[in-house]
Amino acid sequence: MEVTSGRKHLHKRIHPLPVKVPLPKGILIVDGRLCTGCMNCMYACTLYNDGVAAPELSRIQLNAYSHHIFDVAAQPCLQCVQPECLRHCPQGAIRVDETSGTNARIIDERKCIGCQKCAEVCPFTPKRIRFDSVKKKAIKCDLCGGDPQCVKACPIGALTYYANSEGIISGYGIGG
Amino acid sequence: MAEIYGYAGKILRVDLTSGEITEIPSEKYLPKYMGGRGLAAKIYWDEIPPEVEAFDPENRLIIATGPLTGTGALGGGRCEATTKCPAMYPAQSFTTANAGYIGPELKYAGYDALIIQGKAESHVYLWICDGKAEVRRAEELWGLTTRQTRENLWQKHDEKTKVACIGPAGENLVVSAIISVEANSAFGKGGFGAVMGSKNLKAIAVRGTGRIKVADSKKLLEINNIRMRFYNIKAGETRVINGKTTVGTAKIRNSPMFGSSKLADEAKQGRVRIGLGGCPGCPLNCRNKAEFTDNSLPSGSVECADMLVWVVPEMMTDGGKPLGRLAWEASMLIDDLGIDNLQVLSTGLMSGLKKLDKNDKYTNMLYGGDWLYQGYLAGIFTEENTGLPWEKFGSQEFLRKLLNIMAYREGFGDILAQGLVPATKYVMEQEEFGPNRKQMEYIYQRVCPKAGKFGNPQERHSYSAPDPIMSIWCAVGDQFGQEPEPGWCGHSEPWSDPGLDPKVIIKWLGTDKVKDHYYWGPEVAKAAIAHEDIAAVTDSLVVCSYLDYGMYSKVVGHYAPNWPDKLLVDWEEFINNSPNGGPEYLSAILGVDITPEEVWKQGEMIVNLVRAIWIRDGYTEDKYDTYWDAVFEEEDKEGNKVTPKDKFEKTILDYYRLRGWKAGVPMRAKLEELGLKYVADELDALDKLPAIENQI
Repeated sequence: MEVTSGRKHLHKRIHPLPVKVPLPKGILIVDGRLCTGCMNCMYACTLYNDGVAAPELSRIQLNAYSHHIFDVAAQPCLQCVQPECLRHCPQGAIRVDETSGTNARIIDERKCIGCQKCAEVCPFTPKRIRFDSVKKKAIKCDLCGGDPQCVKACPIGALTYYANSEGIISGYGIGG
Repeated sequence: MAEIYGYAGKILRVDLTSGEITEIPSEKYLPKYMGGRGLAAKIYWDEIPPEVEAFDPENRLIIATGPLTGTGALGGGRCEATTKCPAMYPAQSFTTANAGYIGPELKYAGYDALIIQGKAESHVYLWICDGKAEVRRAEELWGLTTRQTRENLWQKHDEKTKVACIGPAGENLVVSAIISVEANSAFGKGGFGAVMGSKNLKAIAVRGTGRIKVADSKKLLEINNIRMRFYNIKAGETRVINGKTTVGTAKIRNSPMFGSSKLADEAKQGRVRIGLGGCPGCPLNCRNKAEFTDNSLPSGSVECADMLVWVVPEMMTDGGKPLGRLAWEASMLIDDLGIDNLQVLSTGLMSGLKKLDKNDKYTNMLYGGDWLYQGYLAGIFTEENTGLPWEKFGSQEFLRKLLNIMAYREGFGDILAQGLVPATKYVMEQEEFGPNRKQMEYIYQRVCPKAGKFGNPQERHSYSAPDPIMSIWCAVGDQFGQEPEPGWCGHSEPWSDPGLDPKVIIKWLGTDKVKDHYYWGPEVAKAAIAHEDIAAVTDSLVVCSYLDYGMYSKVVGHYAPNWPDKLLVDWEEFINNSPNGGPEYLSAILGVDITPEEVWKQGEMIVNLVRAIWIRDGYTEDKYDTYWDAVFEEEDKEGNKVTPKDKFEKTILDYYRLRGWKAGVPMRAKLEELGLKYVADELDALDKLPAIENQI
């Protein structure tokens, strides 16, 4: 599956906060055969969430930027079943969004101290956690509360939002 | 300081002679001159006096973004380059061209525009990164192809760096040299690459990680989502449009380039992978990517026109479907050397096989390359006097030879490199070109229909008859730039679409009489003006001209008759939107209510400013805003003149009257009305303004 490309080898380490995290109930899926890397999703992301146009800030990134590279595709946060970001946050600022019904792994801006530990441990490249250098806070995909703007903005139909109230097995930790 | 919305707030000036790098606050020019073409025109007016020539160090290379650039507005992935254009002959003046990628990056790096002046002592490149600029040595880059240069700079900096560079053609001051931007975009027609080469500047590398503030970002997204429907249907989406059910499929299958091509056949056999791409924030994805699994050809990404360059010769040599390996290799070669595909090289979509028959409608589409091929057919060019292997015309060997002698200015290539007007003169004078050589004048006039002082080998690309709006617009416009060509009313060619709904045409052009391609009258002039103003706004916003609906309808109807996208517009839905999204987007981005009338008025101001530049640069003598007689003699198959001279000249006078111009020159009253009093004063001081008593 295209969305898991770019996975990095991880050294075994002891998780500081082993917690049981509920499965996500919504995820973004990219059809890599359709995605052209046009960046409309990236613009939608920051325009909606930050009120600015800034591809660097977008919670959905591309795996490549050279325009002749073939397998360029959008790389959304996978809302991992074992969210390393959540487990490693020293402030406990990352939690599961149970109010919106998406179970997205979200960052509590008030608690975040901007240490970027979450970005460091994200097992995927490009990192699904971004850093807002103005606010000095980490930011990540919250699925726009269940109405992801990137999906709306995709002109090709390469992005879909898949929701399942029973939970979805996705991202890091699938293998056990 | 108040919040700046839509703009980055600063303009970067780099003086290569002194190495001095300075910043100008954008407020000096913006938002009055909007951005892009308008901003560049103002800087041109202020900084490039008439006596400066294209290759003088005092000439400026201006790269200007617009308020939509990099904001995520659809089509906002582009920016405009402006300079005194070396490809014009004998007088040189203002021209613009647009390209993708580098504009948004420039804004994220903190700049609305980049002004390059002077001439570096040694070969250099410019590195701009997040509010800092640096002129760096580029000895090791000089002589490299555009692809090698890009890859070198990507390695040196990072892969997100956007690179605009020149190839050997630009280094050798070939007037058809481009500035190649990333893998598949370019500041094309006009010789921008040669201007960069004359400044010893090999490349501009930009990296920006900043952000652009948008006043009402959710409104912008809403507009995006509305306008996206005009260009695309998502894969799997079903929509009923004008009573017809359309289902979205994977777009690659409907791509105008790959839809039915040799490469697509090879793709089915697994020897090549094909795909689409495009500028940041654009729904069209007009670029074509191919990757050869056995590495027999370089992989890459090209613009549609690149692939068309060698399509006719290719079909002549190996027959069958268009767009195979030969066309692909041709486009790669052209990009490597940095030559504009249409201006001098192209053998055109239709014309490669055609003889210059007066009654042949299809000869409307002639390009610079046809000049060469028609000269060969007329017995003027031979292997001896050009060094080109004519018996192998259409082969890779021929193409390689042609490109190399041009880019490196060897032998006859040195003549071609000067542009078509000097080349025509040269061929007509030299006895070695045989007894038929005087025919080159006629061939030149068919290839470059616009008569007068600013010779221009690109005209034919836009000019097409019978089409009165296009005839007027093409006669008065600066076609080197990529202003959207008027496609409002459908095209005269038999394969064309019927054009836009009359209601839409009446709303934006003021009349639907222009749907009749044989109707000439003041309505035509009025429609041409309306289109020209809208187009100036498109180029200033900067929205890609292919997303301006006047242009888009043309392209889709013209080149991709089977593209289902052309069915995507529900006219009732479209009529509430402007052709380029300007008024809607500006209101959302700048956070001020701005009406279409105000925006088009800004467009009118920009048209007048550009015209004033042309007048100041010498566009007042002899004949201008007209065509060669050979063009007026063209007839359709029924024997009707496609552009009747008397009717054309009458309509041009209507155009001047409605513009508030006299004999092609803006009058003081008009300039003052548009807030251009300083322009009127300067033209007056140069004795180039129409006399007061003649101003009604």
